[in-house]
Amino acid sequence: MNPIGAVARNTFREAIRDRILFSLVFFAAAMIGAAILFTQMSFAIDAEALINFSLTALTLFGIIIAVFLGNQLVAKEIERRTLYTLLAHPVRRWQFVLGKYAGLLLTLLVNCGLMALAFVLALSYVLHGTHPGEGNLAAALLFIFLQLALVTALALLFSCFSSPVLAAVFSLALFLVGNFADDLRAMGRTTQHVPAKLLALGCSYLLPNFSDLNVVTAASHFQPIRLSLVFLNTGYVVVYAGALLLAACAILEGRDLK
Amino acid sequence: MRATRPTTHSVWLGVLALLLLAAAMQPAVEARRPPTILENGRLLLPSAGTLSRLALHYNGLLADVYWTRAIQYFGERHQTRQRSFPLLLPLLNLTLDLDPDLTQVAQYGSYFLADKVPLGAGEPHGAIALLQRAIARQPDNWRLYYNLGFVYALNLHDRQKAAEAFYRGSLRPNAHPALKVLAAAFLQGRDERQLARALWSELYETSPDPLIRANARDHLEALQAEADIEHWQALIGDYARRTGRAPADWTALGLASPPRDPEGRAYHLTAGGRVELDPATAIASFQSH
Repeated sequence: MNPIGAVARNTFREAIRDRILFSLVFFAAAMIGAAILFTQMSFAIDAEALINFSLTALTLFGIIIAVFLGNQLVAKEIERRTLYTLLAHPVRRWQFVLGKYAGLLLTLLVNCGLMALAFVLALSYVLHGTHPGEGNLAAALLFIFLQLALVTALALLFSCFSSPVLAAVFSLALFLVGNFADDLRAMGRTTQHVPAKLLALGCSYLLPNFSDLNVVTAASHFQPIRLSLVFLNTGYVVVYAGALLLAACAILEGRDLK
Repeated sequence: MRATRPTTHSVWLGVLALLLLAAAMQPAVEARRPPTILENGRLLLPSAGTLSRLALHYNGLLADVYWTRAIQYFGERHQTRQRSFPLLLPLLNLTLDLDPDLTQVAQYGSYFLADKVPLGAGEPHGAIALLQRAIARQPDNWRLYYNLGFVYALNLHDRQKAAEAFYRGSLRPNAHPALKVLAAAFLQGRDERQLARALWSELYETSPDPLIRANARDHLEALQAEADIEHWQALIGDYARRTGRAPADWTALGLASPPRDPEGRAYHLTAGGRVELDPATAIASFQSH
């Protein structure tokens, strides 16, 4: 059996046994239900409010799941010393990292799928049927999954050289900063102070850009998302997550595990 | 196991009692705390940019919350019969800043803003500015031109600009055919009440929202009452000219019982021959539209 596939399967199996994970999924579904109640308190924005609330809840709960599963991926294996047993088998360290990442992505895909299903059901209830622009929501859901893939890669990278708590803090901090990438760039363009300009612009390009992946507001109006944006964003996440995974492999390869 | 049960129940009862006590203390706390910023008539964060950053750029969600806040602010003050709505326009502008495509803010907010006090905020110019911002964002949305014409017609009584707005709206894709009719009616100089009836009827028939439909129905009933009163007043005038005195009651006009307003309440005939609405009716507050 392919070692990456085997590690991925085990990671997935272990993750779905976690009760906290399903409580979070349940809580996200409850938030979607609460969004229906919110539409009753508001006026003339039923679909918009439901989409905004649900997709935001889906993103934030997804990020929490990604961080709190991702931060333990390697650290826990080292702590429990299960990594030594695993590496005694014909599994290379880089295969272990990629397998862990693939397993977690699969877990997130299942979770997102469940939350998206709750969202679609709630939307059909609010719309009393379907909307011609409903297909445009698929891009927003894909972008949410891409954000989760990026956060998982960050958590996995930090998990290779720090404790689970620190890995969670670092990943969440980068998620927050990454949401301000546009602001950071605008600040860099405005400031006349050259070192500050270089630092702001450099950070805005080098840090993971989560703001480009947020199309929730446009989705709430069923606005179409350009296919080129879908490809570019997917490409960006593949490249960035690839870089993070490469770094994670390099760190783990160089780590003295004895 | 059995021995611990009563203890467990007591603990849970204690938790419940403490939670109820905490809930009971809240009204006392609320009565003593300083008024909130909104009650003071100011917005804490008037900048959409700052708000957006604080909410990680989930602007749509924030706009929905602010729109709901605007609706509740208007509803609360309306219910408590307060005659001013100083935060309504800033709240609506902020909502549109956060999500310029949430044109419902201009479409429906313009009704509350433009209507005369106490039915609305009495700010028709603010409503027009809001609608023009929405039109700049969605120039093909014919409903926004309809709302613009509506405010010009009923709140500013500017027939020329109303006709212009309806006509511009009628040229948009999928525009409702009534817009052309309304534009023509305003240019032809038809009587104000007829035009008002046409506008409210149009809104009553086309709006999917029950609150807007109820508001339109109330205005239509008020227009009907105005027409009824004019009709009966004319008959009373004829009677007075023929007999030299005002009719003592409705039977003098050949009616077995007093005529009724659209709410079903009887019109009052005063000793001086004036027809008035029952003081208990809600119709009076919607009149002169």
